[in-house]
Amino acid sequence: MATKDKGQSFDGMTRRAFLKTAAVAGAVVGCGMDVAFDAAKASAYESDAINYRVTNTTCPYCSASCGQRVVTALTGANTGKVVDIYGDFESPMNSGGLCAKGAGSLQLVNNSRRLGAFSGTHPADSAFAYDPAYDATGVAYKRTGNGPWGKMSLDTAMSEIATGLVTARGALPATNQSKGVAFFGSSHMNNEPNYVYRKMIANFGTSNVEHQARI
Amino acid sequence: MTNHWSDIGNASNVLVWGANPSENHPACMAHINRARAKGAKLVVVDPRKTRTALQADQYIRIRPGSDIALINGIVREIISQMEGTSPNGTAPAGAVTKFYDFLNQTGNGSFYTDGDATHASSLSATVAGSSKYSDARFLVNATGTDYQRATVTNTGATPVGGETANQLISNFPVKVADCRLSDVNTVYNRLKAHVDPYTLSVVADVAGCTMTEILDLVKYFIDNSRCSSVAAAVGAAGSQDPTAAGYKCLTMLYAMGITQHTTGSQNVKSFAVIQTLMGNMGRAGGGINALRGIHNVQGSTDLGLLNGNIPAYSSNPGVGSTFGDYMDGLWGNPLTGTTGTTDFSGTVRSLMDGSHDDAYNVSTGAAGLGATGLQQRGFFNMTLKFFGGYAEALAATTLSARKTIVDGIYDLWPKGNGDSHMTMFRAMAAGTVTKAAVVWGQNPAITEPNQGKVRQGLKNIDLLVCTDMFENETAACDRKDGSVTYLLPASAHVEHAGSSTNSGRTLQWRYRAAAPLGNSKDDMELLLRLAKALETAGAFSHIQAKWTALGLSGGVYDTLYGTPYDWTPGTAYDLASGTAELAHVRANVTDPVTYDLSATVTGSEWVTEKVFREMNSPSAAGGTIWIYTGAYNAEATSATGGPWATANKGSLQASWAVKNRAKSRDNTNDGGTFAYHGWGYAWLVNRRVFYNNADIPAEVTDYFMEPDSCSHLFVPANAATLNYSRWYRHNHPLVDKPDVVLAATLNAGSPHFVPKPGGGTITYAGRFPAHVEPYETPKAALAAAWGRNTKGGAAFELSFVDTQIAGRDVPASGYPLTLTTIRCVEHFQGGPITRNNWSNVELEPEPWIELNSADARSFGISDGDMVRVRTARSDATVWGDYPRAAYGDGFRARVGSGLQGNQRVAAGVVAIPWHWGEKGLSTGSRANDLCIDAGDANSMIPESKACLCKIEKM
Repeated sequence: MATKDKGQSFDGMTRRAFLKTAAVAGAVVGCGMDVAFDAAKASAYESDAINYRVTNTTCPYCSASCGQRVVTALTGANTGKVVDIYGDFESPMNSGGLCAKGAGSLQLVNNSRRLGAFSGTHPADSAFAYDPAYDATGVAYKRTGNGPWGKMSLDTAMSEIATGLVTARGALPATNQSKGVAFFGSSHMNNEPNYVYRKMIANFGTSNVEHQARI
Repeated sequence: MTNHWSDIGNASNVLVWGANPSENHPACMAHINRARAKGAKLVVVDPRKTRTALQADQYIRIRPGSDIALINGIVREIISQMEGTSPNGTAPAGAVTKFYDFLNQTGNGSFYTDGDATHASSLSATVAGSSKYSDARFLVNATGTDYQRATVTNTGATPVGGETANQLISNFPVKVADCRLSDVNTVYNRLKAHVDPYTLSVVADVAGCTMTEILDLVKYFIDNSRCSSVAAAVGAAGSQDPTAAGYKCLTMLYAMGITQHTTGSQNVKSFAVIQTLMGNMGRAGGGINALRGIHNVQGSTDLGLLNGNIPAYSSNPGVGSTFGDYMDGLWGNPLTGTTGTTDFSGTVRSLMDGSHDDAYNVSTGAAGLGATGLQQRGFFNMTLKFFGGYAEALAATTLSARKTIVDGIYDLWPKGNGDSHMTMFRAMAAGTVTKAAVVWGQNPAITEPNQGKVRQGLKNIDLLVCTDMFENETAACDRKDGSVTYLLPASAHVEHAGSSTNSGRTLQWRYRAAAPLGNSKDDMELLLRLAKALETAGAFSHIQAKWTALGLSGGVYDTLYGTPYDWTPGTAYDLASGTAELAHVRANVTDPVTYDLSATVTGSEWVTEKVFREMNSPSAAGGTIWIYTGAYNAEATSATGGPWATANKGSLQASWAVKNRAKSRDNTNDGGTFAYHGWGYAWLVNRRVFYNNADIPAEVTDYFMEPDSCSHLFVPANAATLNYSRWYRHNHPLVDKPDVVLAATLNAGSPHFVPKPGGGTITYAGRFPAHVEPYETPKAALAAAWGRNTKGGAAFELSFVDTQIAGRDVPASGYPLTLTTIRCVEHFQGGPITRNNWSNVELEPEPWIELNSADARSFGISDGDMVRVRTARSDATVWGDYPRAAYGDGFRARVGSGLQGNQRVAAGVVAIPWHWGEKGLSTGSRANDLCIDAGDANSMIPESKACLCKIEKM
């Protein structure tokens, strides 16, 4: 069932190298170790402040919160782009190791299937290719019924969405509690957007909100 | 988690029960292996021989949904061996002595290491022998069939006429000299009676394991708990020092294998019961630890994205409740007024005058709690920062002026609860009330059980808004004519800044490494733009009208979002700019930790920093999220201002270097206990191990759970007025255990389910978990004997099942197999962020079904065959024209071979992963087309781990 898109980025690692790595990683996955970690490469990034910036983050998958170091290119064709992600030896959560998901998270960032991220042919739907015409306003995708996705300015979309939400909500009862809109939040968001989302929902006049913790 | 990730390395026995960290939390295995390197055993209890089980010292297979029976059986045997009545042996004499010494601990005050002589055990002295932290030592007073706490006043005396319930400390402990010999109503004796039916043979039958395996588990508990540890007495030197030779402690790790049942809440509670009994709560290397699934599921739960909560675990304000009423129910002080105290406007309040005026008694500065406690002051702040008027309320100089503002603003809170997750989709399908959905960073078209119903709901609404990095199944779902769907492109985790709270409750900062790619946007920018659009569309007109009535000025967006978070829609996001701290990345492990304390940061880094400060400043200084209080502290190194403001990193560490403690990266292993107090910031007040008694080296006194001492943390020093019991009653009103009417007399001697006083169909909780069968079970006889976890007794079904199998307990010819869902290391949850990655897809390209070789032979299935799976949700013969949404037609068979005990699943059980759907690089059959939407009657989590199915070769 797996299919491979022609435009799929290999993100700096050849498929052959990946499979070799993955075979070993599969064998030791229980140790939480990332055997693909390359100390020499990491050292090269961290000692070259002219060409690279290294920042800290945590892994976007499970809640073990493995530390990650993220390399951003400061020069060359990839200026401003993330070019590598590897385990953070400083973190007591993982001491530098990453699992099969975390070690592959660079693919997630530079994934050609992302919405609006890359120019050219989008592997899933041409509507989702990056379009510089929307640099100023931002972009949103819209479809009516089961029609095709179209593009529009994010400002216009936000206006339409807000109007639609207010229509669905209707006039607020005295309890400020409307179930006209079901909100779903996200464990994939950081604390701050979660907080602002919950605040906005309260201001909208409802506590009709749920997220992944329930399921 | 009561403990935290790296603390697992302190355990002498790791009991993984209903979790598979080897695949789903791989980093956890490194912590487990650190314990094993010191001699700890890894024991796995699970229906499936997982990759974790393959590495374990012992694997014990049980039937899906039999967890409570096994725990209760273990408890029964432990008690028997401690009392010397078991035919299977007696616990070592030393262990017996320590076991009862712990349970009978008599507090004379000396155990209470308050760390502050002025507060030394103020109530321990008056309530003789009060408990440290254990329900197991509470005296319970049985009235009728209900368990009630003994009622005493805050001096330990029996209440006298004229005192109201508000004055009573009814929940906290009344001591007995010996839990075995005294009143039959001690918790110990009640527990003993409750577990009496769970004999080895009964449990072995229910759980499908052997009696020997149960005895093995009993031995693990006895040998790896406080009773077998060095210096076991609470407060004794070294009693909680995991570095001491002879230190023994068992930790329990669990995940969805425990929670995704109609008894999910009670499963967890049964863990709490046994770990409390064994004295393993609050100890390094112990506790009960939920391995949470998504990187910030702890944070999103903390911040109240659940229909019954507002942020920080306060309930939704209720219809008709006043601000004072509501505040009075939160953790902190009774706010009805106190004898001899003067409120901030100069009025002397009399005892319990019912005015609740103390709810308004706050001020700014270090003493800003006023008459309130942490949670109360946090709610005061949240109300006024969510809906406006904070500065105006604090500036008011009279009580009446402040009341006018605060009460008016409190009106703006939505009153009451929303719908639960599964219910929401049914409301969408009904189409009468819920007509739109905003699905932010979630993929319910994969993750929700009984997709036929879910998709009916998604199809029917007028407006659907999705935010994701990819076109997920939810955005792409079948929609009705004329409906509109919007999809907003989100950024990756390295493209925005902010804090994330891990499973161990530790907040860590994520720096922005790059701008969002192409047209994609940071969640926060999208949210702020939506908030602005909502204002323009009139969504906040009720707030504006209230402000006008109260004389408050300003526009809603500008006042509540624009000004506090420093960004104005219509301008570039990176124009938001300010000064914040940055941690430098160290190139070598020997380099010192250094920070840039006044870096200029922009866009996401600054906006999230501003939000972080609003949330996490000390409650007394205006912070809204009381459980995170002090995670930001403008007085970074101050030792003043309450326990949350002190150098709360542990005595062996230097003071905080940064105000934003999520950015703290001091990874000193203080005292060798793997607590890492300087790495990020853990709620509450940087406690890494909950409920401990400050006996862990480098840990400061734990104020949190110890009933007497908690007052010192959560309320000001006027301890005579504390009323934590009210908080306790408010939040634990014994409604967390739905009732069942037992069909047999098996448990009649110790009814764990009790009827509501006064009758009626709604029933109240008992104290101890008891076994009930899954909603769909192949064991009709057990269901008849033990019942099911229904809501409201026999008169009602579970609050949410619309796909019953007629009779539910079907003969073998109908749905003979139990279906349980699983996950794999290569894929993640609903799939968008792994099924679009070629390497993950390369490793696991398609969903499969694991089945036992005996079942495979029965159904004529060979390894590698495609297998069609049907349940009541997908079987048209049951539901006629039921709108099926089944996607995909089959799962690749992985048939076990060799000895039964070595196969992945037992005969009669099949397991399928649920990550797949119809979008992405890899597509495959959706498990949730099949899974049941029966919810835990308490939490409404679906029973994903046990439903009935049938299979055939395709």
